[in-house]
Amino acid sequence: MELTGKEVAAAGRKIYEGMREEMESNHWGKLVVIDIHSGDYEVGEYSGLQSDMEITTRLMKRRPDAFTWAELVGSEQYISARLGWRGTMEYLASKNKATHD
Amino acid sequence: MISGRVIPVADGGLGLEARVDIGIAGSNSIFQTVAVVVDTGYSGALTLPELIAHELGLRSTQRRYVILANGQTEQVGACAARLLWNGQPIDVLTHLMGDKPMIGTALLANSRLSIDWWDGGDVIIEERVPSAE
Repeated sequence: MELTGKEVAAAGRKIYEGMREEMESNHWGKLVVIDIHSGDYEVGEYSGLQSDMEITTRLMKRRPDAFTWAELVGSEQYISARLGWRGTMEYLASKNKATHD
Repeated sequence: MISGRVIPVADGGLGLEARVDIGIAGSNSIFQTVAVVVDTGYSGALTLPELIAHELGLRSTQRRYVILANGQTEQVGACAARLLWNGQPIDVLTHLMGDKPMIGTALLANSRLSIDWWDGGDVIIEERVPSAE
């Protein structure tokens, strides 16, 4: 079933809430990548975007059809990247275009 | 070494942009040349417009937050993409957004970036040479 982005995020956060206590007790500061379909997940040390890629790849080797959401344990939101003004303008222009199409 | 050119911003935009060509593998594992803008304000590795990702056969299998320059957080689709970087294939987490592909500082890590900031100027990205010390 095809999910919208917001549904993926909501499903990911819901799964994470169920494991938050265990994660915060044992994996503080680590990145957990969750397959929202199976609930399977992979945890690893976070050291930037490339570590996200590596943890996600480990999960997708087990779950080739995974659709993933990620949480940084102990943080309210895991921000995968920051956009500068150029990227922000690109993002907003394409979003507006999609809205008007 | 990866080289490119400084050119006027396309589509009637103001100013200049630094562009290089990189090879990105499609779902058929064949590398295709894609022109990307070098944006040091972007802390990620690579962005691809959804249309180009679709043409390459890459589909959004991840969802991640990014933070915009105005402080707003947004969720965008993402996927793994294999690209040729300094002659080596590497897999990077790619944000699917915008109208033009961009590369950012996560990809430029351990590289020297030099730009002659005038129309037609050179853009050169070189791998860091370990110090002899």
